[in-house]
Amino acid sequence: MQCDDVTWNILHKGQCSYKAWSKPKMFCRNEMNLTGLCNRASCPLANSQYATVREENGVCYLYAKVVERSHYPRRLWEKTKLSKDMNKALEQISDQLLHWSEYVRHKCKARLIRIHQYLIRMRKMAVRGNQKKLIPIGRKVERREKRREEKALVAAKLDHAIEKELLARLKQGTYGDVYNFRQEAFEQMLENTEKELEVEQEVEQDDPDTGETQFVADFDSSDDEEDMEDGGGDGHWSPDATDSENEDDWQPEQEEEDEDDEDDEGEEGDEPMEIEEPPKKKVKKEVKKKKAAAAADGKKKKLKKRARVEIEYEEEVEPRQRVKA
Amino acid sequence: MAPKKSKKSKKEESMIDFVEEEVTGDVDEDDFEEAQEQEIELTDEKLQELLEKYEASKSAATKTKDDFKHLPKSQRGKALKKALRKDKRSRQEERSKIREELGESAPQKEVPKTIESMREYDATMVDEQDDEVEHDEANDEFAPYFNRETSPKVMITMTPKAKITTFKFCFELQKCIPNSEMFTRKNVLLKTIIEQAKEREFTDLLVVHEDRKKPNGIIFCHLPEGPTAYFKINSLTFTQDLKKFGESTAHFPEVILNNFNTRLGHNIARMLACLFPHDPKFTGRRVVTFHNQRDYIFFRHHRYEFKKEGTKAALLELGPRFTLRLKWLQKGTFDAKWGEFEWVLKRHEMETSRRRFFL
Amino acid sequence: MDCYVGATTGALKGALLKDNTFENLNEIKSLDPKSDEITSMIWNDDQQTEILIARMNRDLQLFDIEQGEQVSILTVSAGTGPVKGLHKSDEKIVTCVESGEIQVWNDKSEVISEWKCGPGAAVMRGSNEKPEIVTGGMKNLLKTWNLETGQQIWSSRNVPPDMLGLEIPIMVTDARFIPGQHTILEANKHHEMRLYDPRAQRRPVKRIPFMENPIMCTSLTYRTNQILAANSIGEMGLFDLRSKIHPMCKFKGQSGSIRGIDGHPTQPLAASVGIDRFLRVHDLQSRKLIHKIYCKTRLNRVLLRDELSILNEKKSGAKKEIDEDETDYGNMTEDGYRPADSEDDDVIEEDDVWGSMDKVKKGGKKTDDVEILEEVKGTRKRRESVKEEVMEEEAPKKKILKKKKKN
Repeated sequence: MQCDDVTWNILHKGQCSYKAWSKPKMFCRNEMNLTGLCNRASCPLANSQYATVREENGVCYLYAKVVERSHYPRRLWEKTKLSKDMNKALEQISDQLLHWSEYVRHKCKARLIRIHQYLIRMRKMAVRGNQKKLIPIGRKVERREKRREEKALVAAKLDHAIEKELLARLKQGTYGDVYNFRQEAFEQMLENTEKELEVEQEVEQDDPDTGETQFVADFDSSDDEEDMEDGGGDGHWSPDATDSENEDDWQPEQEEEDEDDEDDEGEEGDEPMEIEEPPKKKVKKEVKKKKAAAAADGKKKKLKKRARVEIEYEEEVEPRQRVKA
Repeated sequence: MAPKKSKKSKKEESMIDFVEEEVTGDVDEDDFEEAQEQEIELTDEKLQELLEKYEASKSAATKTKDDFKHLPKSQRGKALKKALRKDKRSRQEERSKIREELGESAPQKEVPKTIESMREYDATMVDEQDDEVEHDEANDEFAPYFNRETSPKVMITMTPKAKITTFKFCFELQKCIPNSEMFTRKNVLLKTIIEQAKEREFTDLLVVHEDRKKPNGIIFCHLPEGPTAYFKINSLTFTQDLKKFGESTAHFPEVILNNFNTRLGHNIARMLACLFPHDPKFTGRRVVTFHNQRDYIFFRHHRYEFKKEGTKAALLELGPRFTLRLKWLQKGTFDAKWGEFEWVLKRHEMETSRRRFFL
Repeated sequence: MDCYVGATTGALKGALLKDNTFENLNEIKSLDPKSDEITSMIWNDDQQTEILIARMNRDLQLFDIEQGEQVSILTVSAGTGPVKGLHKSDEKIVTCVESGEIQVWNDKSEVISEWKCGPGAAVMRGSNEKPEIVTGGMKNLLKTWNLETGQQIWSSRNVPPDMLGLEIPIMVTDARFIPGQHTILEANKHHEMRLYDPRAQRRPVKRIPFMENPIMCTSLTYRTNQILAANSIGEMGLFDLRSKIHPMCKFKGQSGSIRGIDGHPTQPLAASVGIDRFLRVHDLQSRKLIHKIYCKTRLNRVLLRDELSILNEKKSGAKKEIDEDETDYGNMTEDGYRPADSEDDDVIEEDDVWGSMDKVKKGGKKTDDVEILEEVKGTRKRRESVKEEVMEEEAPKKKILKKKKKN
């Protein structure tokens, strides 16, 4: 009590190393401070009779300081262990701090209650089993990873790799009959049907359709079909001739397709384009299918196909097993 | 081989010329003779000389930065690069000339060394036909999927207080992966989520983690008792941010898994394959790619179309684009505290070599 | 064959360290991991010619090394769950299953005695000195049992609750008797190892924390007071039980959880296996990795033979130092992995070391341990006999350490 006011004046107006400056209130970093604020009544240095409640390792202690011991720094603070039960602990505080100032007693009890609250919360969290672990991010590590990722991206040549893989799958035949522009399989089909045709040829010689000409609408594949018709009309259906013709057939058609597709892709990637594409493709596919059907089948069937407009796009072919990684 | 080709083509051309000109009447024999002479000229000495020249050209002196001191500092770098490139070009030309002269005895063309070709030997690389590995894989946690006993059902969720970007990402994932459902997480523990998911017969669980309002990790848990993998998301671009993109459809996509070579890589590849249903609809022409390059897994989502009779494929990008990097793989469902880890990336032990990769 | 490894697919593999190869000792295609997974493995006899294997379907098999055949001896009948512990003493086999039933079998595969040790047992090991076994597991305290009577001799007590007042759950993953001393070592999932002394108290005498992940297994080493412990991330550490709490050194290499360690009784070598499918042999003195063998499946248990092929190589000169310039792996050089390298350089030859040192007079304090050593029956005799020498050599060199003598 003697020099409390003087001490406070000095600390408050002048330098206090425990003062933590922050607007609007000033905080006190002294570990024995009861409220944590820098006040006349809260400053442990400026009050000769003072008390605090502190928690160490889950146990609460009451620290009390009186004037009589102010000359014994080592024995300054009297430490009493408080009970784990909050109510009993409050009673203990009342007992110990009997006849002390209301402010200190009140604040001690409030602090004790707060400590108990956060301990309960810690227990709840521990029992809950929250397995969150905070891993720090190193700046250099991040930078390194980013650089390496960029380089890996360049080395990967993704589009190329995807294309290669898709084409390999196509060659392998994982797509079944969905796409029908596979040369090898196409030729195989031809070979298979040649045998049929040779058999049919003998039968067909008496076919009244032989030699007849028909007038057809201007269709994409009209030229080709005329050629084939001629070839068929001659009665000699040699495999080589058909092959070369077919190759020629494919190319002009492909070119047309390519041009169209290039136009398509030149447009912006919006929904309308998508909707347009499938129908276009349907047409193309249908044409191709027709061609395939026409070339593979006999002359008879070809004629039939030409008349009808079949959309065989959504053929649910039994998909072959995906190549497993 | 370049020289052989040129030689052959020359010969062929000359032959063809010969044939054609026979028809037309002109025969150009000179070219043919010249080619023969060249072969005769290559004696042993000349051979040696040329070979030495070849080797010498490889180690020809190049310019260094000291040669450019006369330029101001800002221009030195560019000038040096240009000069080096020029030197390289001239060396290559020299070598190709020598190669032409040498003809068949030219040394093999050098293959550039890439990081992939210099990769450290990894004993766990999977061979094509390894009985034991096959047996192991036939009986591991993914066997039910590959035996067609279960079909995938994916649950996508995120951290409790997720922000918009994470939501967006989850939404995109949901669109991309068929048979997936997205749930927001409201302070439910991951373990309880796993139990609930098991009850509702989900096969996979994806949890997106975020940091500073951006998704930065995925926990991928294969459900019945499967392994859990934690990937770090390194870069992410949404569909809208791509330059050209299209709309995804609901067809089952095809899956491409590239470059997963080691055992660990195999495991991860199978995990990723488990997300998608078995039978891709080829008519949908959707393909999802996971490409592994130097331990970074690139995810792409495309619509493809075959052009030019199946010699080319055109790709249109749909869906997000992101990169993953595996941080750890745990055996059993998510239990970071008490679980057993099958593989953990320990930076100080594993990232010491720039030529060592694990996937 | 130097090392025998049991895999999760059920394959028993033998590894030859000299060549860094392994071979499967049983046919793989007929295995079904769910029922054939090897859960426990021990030597059946001192000469280490037979291995006793317990599989997931509780089938006990005896594998004869010389003939390469395995014979199914018996199937554990009691309880549920896989066999977690095996122990062999005087022609009797003791088995412990996960649900806690312990059975003692005799030669003719009949049950002599049977009792329960509590559900959730994760480990059971026997002592080579006394007819006792120790058991422990999840929510199953560490207990010692008398083999002959089946009575519980001692049970441990859980540590006091932690700071918040919460009880620490009991999760024992591994337990061992420390030979020569009356202590039991326990490893648990709280990344902690505990030493118990049954003569003194029920609570642990010493607690050794190790990293932050659950410790999966432990092993003894060629020195009495040193043990190896490994956790679920793949970190393996060498500990000295006498005084220090921190590991003496850590062994790098494993990238996955380590499930089995076996230390050689006389040589400073230890083999470790884990679910990253590698078998690694480390040198304990130089802390380097000597061998690394890729065994294509996840591995569960390992047994290291006493006679190793690499030890029989004679070298000239005294102790060989391992070059600091070499990379970590003894069978790897800068050019890459070369499985067929010779490992002569890396192994310290025992004879030279011991021969070059002088024998010192015995100190007076070692009477207790010496007596116990003489009472040893059964396996690991060689270990004990060498230990005497070791102790004598160490006395003058090391500082005088306080020995725990609790009489």
